[in-house]
Amino acid sequence: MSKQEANAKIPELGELISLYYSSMLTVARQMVGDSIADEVVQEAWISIQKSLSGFEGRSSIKTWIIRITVNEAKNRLRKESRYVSLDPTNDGYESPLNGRFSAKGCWARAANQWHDETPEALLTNEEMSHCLDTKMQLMPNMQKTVFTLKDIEGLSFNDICNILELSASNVRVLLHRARINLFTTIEHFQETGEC
Amino acid sequence: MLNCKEMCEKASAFHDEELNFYQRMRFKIHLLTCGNCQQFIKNFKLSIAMYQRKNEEEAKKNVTDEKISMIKDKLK
Repeated sequence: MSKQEANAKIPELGELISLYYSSMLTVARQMVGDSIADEVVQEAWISIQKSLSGFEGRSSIKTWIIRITVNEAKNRLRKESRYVSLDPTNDGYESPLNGRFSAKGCWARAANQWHDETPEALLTNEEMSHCLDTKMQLMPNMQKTVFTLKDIEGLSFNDICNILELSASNVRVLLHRARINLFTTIEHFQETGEC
Repeated sequence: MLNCKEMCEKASAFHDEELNFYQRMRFKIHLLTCGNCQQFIKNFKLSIAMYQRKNEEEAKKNVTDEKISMIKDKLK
């Protein structure tokens, strides 16, 4: 697609805001927290306005907009010395499921049936919802970001690799860790009623 | 045959339909015979679905017409 063709297909800026503001805010909230997410999104829109005419259509407009949002969030984290880009394959990670298996790899402490068996039923528990917010805040930034881009925003692995400049295998490792963290948090709450 | 620990390690690849035919068959054969792994996969998928739903609800609360109008006004 030529640059002219790509530009011809871009909606007006106002329409882009209506279409993608929610996705941008979701990504920014996960990366920098609620208190400054709005500011990050505003900065991202200023960057988007400046560079929209240069959009070349090499990715979807959504992916391009999310990439700018992620970069704004990273810049903000760097300024606040909160940005950590670790190699996820060499960071001393220990799965919260360690210790749940026998030497032969069978369950030693298996997963139990939960009290709440639908997403809606789980969500009615406000304490657990707060607990998840707390635990998500503690999750390493890259884990949270990969999880948000894949499971909340539905981006492809290829787009996530490009946006975060991570290898395909590292993205998959981070995503799995985030999902296991989420699972063990909910499981712990379901079993003990505590965060 | 996969063991339960390996099933957990491949849970995301299974969820994302990234296993090849042979891997998927091995995964499904273990699932058919292991109630513990059936429960784990059920809860694992439920966790993801729950967080997606939670996020949808929060997005509805956080994204207001006022906020969108404010951004549009700032960029004029």
